[in-house]
Amino acid sequence: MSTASVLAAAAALQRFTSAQLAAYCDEDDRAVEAVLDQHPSLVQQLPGGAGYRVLDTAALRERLARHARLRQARQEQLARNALSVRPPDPARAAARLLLAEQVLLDCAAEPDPRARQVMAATAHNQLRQCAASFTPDAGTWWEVDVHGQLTVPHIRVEADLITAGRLRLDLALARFTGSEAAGGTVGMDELVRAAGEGDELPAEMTGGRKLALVRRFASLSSRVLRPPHGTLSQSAPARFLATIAARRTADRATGSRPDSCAGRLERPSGAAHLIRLLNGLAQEPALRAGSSASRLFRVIDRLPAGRARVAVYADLLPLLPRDCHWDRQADPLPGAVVEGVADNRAQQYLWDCARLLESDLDRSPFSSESALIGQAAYVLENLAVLRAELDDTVLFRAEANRRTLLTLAGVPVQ
Amino acid sequence: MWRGLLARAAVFWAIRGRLGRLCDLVDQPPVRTVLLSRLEEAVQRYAMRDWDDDVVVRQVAADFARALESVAAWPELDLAARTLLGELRDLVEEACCENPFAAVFAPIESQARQLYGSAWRPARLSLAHTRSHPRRSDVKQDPYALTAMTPWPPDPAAAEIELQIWSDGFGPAAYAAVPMLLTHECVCHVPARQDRAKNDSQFAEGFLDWAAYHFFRIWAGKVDPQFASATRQHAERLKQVLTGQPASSESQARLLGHHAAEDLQTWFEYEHAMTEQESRTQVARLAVELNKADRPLVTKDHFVSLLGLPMPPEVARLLTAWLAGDVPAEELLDVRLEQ
Repeated sequence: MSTASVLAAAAALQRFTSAQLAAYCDEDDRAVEAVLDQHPSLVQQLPGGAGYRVLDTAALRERLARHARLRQARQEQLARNALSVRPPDPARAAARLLLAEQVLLDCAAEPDPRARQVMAATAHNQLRQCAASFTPDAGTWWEVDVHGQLTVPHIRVEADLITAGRLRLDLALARFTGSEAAGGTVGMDELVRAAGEGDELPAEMTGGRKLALVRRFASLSSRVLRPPHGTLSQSAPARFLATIAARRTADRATGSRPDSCAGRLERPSGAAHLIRLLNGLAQEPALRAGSSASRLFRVIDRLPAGRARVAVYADLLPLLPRDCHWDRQADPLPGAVVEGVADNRAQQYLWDCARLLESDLDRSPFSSESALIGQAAYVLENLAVLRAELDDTVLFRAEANRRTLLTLAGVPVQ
Repeated sequence: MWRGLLARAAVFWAIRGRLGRLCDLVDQPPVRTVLLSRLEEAVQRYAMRDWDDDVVVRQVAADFARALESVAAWPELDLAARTLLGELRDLVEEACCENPFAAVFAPIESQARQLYGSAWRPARLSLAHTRSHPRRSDVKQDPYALTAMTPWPPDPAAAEIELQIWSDGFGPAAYAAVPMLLTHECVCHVPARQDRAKNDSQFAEGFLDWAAYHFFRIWAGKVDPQFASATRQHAERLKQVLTGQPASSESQARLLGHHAAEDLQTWFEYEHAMTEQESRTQVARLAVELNKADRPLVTKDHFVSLLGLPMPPEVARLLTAWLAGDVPAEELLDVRLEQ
């Protein structure tokens, strides 16, 4: 065994000192030297204490093969086993999928786009190997058709469940992460298809992971969506609005927050929420690049008696004094932008608040979306204190607002 | 706290040649309760005294020797158990206050230095106390109430390996796992050249951990023949514990890294007609070379994600070229498959 271990290590290292070789095998320096000295036709000592080198690798391997009684049949068997369809290993497949999800979620905090691209490729490789392990006719794992039929049995991992729908959503997330990191875009059709997978996520799934995946999907959508007209703005106020919309939609889609549509006969599915978000992202003028108008407040129509139909950032509404008139009519960007009819006084208040918040966000030193939300929560709190002189109930409404925003930013709120 | 750990570890170090058998013996609840309680009582009795470390260790060892003698007199014990307790009593009398952690660390550090050559960073060992089990487990299920870490980035002059021990759960099995934990730190983290540390890295905690186990199996007998049997046994049990938590990303990364290394080993065997021994050595050598490459950890994790049988053609081509010495290991980190 000792001779074999020394020679095997020598074949691997090719050029080495006896001390280096000893670290790779179960003998000490002197025993290593003794073994090497017995094989002068295979290993040569270099002059000047420079160590050793292998003279004839093929002969050395032949010697090792004889020693280990390695037969051609054994090699052929190994090759057959390695290349043939192996029985699926659910534990390994589950580990691949769960770790790939973690890598994709970690991308949200990775500032370097090149690193995000590599991480997306890592997750994609693990997911393809997971898919291929259950799809015997798929060919080699790197050629598996991830858009085709994926036959994945339900695999339980403690409180978690893995299904084909979950795998499809993860594969979509890996593609979108790669696109986002490369500065690319994704068409509406593909995003809507992926949103449909949101409904395929198993009910028996760790709540935190489900919310995190849907949030990541919503957030990525707001970065990669290719709108039918123009492109999405990367300004801080536009990113802020898109993030607020994405996070609130994810909460609603996974049932993590009360639904604003509660009370309807039929609660919209998770996919329906996500598709409304995608439509909002595609059509909301406040998110388009190139616009110089305010992104947090705009007048759509002038109406009689000084009233106007306006679109406004939703969290400004609790700052309105009670005697202002506001009639909510639509949610063009769910969770972030609302449309309604405002009287003259309400328009003025909303415009002032929007202008202050927008100018603060425009000067933001933060690139992180969570930091933008935290910044907005701080500005809104200050605005509430100023408005409290006119109506002290503003403070209570604003406090609820602040808590909601900080929760969305991932800040623990007491 | 240090005195208590020192006294316990000094006792375990003195009896290390029989530590594995003691662990098996203490699986018998009455023996376990009595022996470990007596040891704990002795530690509590003497550790706080204003004595030299040496005196504390000798007093704890003497009390433990008496406990062994008293348990050996139990009539229901069989001859084998009685003989073992007698051997343990003889060994424990030689307990001394030589640092029983440094004694384990020094030879492992020396082997790792040989392995990494000029890429090695000098390393020193420090001990820290934790307030709970590192995995918040029950010591009956997971007796390894300790962990090790190398703070990142390591000090270029000397990387510090911190052994974090929950002293209330520090028993013989935990001490027997120390050599493997230190080998992991020395092989995987001390000489690592990369931009960050990450507990769920498939490369650093999985693929390299496989290499650490490979080296540990061959070093154990060299670094301390007396301790080898117990340390090998507990290294394997520790691996089962660490890979046996399917919902944790650390456990998933370890499992997948080990599987990737095993797939690569198989590929070397059938594709390049290597013996099992040589193919294992080649995988370990590749792990060491990649660990020395100053490249982002995400690229090393990506390489691990490519290792699956059958091997993608571009990966196979580069691995073959690396074996022939035609390309450096780093080149393998640049392979990207079409998405």
